[in-house]
Amino acid sequence: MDSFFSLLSGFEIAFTWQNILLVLLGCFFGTVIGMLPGIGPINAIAILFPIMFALEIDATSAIITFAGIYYGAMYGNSISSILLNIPGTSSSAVTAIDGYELSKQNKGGKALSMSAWASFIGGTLSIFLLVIFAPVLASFAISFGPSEYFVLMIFAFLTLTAFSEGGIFKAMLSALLGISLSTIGLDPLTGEPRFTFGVNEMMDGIDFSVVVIGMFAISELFNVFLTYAQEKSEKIDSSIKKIHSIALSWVEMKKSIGGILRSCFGGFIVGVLPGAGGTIASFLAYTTEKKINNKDKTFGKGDLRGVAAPESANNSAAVGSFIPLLILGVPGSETTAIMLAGLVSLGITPGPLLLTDNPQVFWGLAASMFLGNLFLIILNLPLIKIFIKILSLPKSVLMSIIVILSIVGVYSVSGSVSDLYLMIIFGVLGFLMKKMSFPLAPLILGMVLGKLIENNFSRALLYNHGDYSVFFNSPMTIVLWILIALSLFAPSLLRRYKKQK
Amino acid sequence: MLNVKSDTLQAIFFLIFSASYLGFSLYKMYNFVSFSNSNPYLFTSFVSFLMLFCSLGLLATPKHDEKLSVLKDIRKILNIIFALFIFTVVLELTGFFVAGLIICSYIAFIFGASILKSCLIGLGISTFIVIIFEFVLKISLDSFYIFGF
Repeated sequence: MDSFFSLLSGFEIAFTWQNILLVLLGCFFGTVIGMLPGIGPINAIAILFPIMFALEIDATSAIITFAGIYYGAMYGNSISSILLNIPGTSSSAVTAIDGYELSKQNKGGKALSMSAWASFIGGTLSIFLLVIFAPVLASFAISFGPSEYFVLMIFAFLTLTAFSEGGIFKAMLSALLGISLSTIGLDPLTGEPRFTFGVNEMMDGIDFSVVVIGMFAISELFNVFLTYAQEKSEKIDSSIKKIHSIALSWVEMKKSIGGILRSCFGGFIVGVLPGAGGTIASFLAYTTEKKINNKDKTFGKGDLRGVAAPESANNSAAVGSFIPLLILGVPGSETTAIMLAGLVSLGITPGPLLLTDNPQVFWGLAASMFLGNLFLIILNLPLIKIFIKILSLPKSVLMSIIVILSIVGVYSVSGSVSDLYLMIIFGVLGFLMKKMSFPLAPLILGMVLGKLIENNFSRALLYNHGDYSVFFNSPMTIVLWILIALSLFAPSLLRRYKKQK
Repeated sequence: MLNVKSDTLQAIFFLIFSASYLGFSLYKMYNFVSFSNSNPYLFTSFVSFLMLFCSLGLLATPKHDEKLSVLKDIRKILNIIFALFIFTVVLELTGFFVAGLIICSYIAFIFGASILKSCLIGLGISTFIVIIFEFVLKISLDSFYIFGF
């Protein structure tokens, strides 16, 4: 009941003119960004975050906008997947299997409509789950000390690295590189300058937005330049013709609703797990539905249920990922890692105390999500032809806009040219890492969590007079170590077991 | 041509990097005023040790045989890297408006627009950004530094 009244107070925050406008803008730009291949919500948030900071927008409004971009991108993803077979990000790759088939059969409009409704239902129901489970987890996590936090963050890293491409060692090296970058600058406990090599500009450490914009936006410019091809515009014009009617029949909706609900719950659970995210949620949802409903072998040949399940799951996972971010202060993906950095720099520390110290952030966000989902369904269905036209924007204009906004994002806050040099260097580093199959998400997570890990590590040791057994002697840490061992060894053991079978 | 896709070379690079990082951290740790749990290099020593361990792990895992020349790719994007560096120098000398115009025009040009179209794209985007940030949002970008205000 408390949650219900708190949610009502959240609506009071969400229904101010400023926040309504920010949700609308977030959803609109999220949809556009999500559609464009190679540019994800992380780029949009990374570019927008310093601008928000410069505009002195409060933390609640900032997180409301970021969340709008995040789940707006989940909607937008499906548009390019269904019509062009080009997923905006990997979380909608599985939607393309049946979505593109439907599009080829001139049922693109129906697929888009189903995707929008599934996203709406999945997204809205998962907000209820967020509202119910977040306070429960917060009351449990309030007993966490520095040692529990330290082990929890190691768990978050290991689950993220286990799901990353390129192998576990590459992912771990990437995460450790991120942690190392976070140690540059003055040591928080002793004030000793570390790895600054006498450069004064390095005393404050490396700004997070410089690394993110360099690694994601600038490196993407290099990638797009290498793979640049001009074959798209004809394809887009023909895709618009394939949309036809967007109306869904009651029978079609009835056939898909079971899958939407199942995928919503599954997606939410996957979203809560650090590192798993929308991609795994959508793949799991698709394979589950295929197993349950593929008696007439229609999956993969243009079945609306193959569009509904992954779309419901990835939107639900996006909402679920706010639980570890806001309640534990441990983000599970690179996008939520940026949000964490944004909240911290705006003076809010996510964690179990967030619900008591800054309830307006959590409840304002939860209420704004209802509003955002409503905006997205209103925006997506009638304006679909306009959105798809954005895909035909020439690369020359699009890349110029991305580059200039990246530069503004870095320069507007610090006004320092040295940050721009660093941004270029990180752009090249990000490009090289992508080429060599090193995942970037663990690096970003390492950079955000590095300072927190170090603080908790030092504090746990200080409180226990340097006794390292503190990391192993509470029941919670033991459970977490068991989970860590499972996440490390279970995949290879399962593979071996399957081979033997 | 250097085949950087080969994981061995990457592992060797990380091995050298993490060994130097560990050596430096340990040296600094033992030379710090007091050797206690609040030593600022204790944590970095742990991190560098783990990096060394992962580099060895990477070295020991089976290798990919895919051949991909990163140096060739770097050579292809070298013009953009130089353009970005030049942009930063121009920004220091003339302010954001001129620098933005140059970089946007250049990016538009390398992505297939004609010279005239590139200049127009550069002018349009740079003017739009300056109007929005300087005059609407009131965020200073030192846009007209060359003109002294």
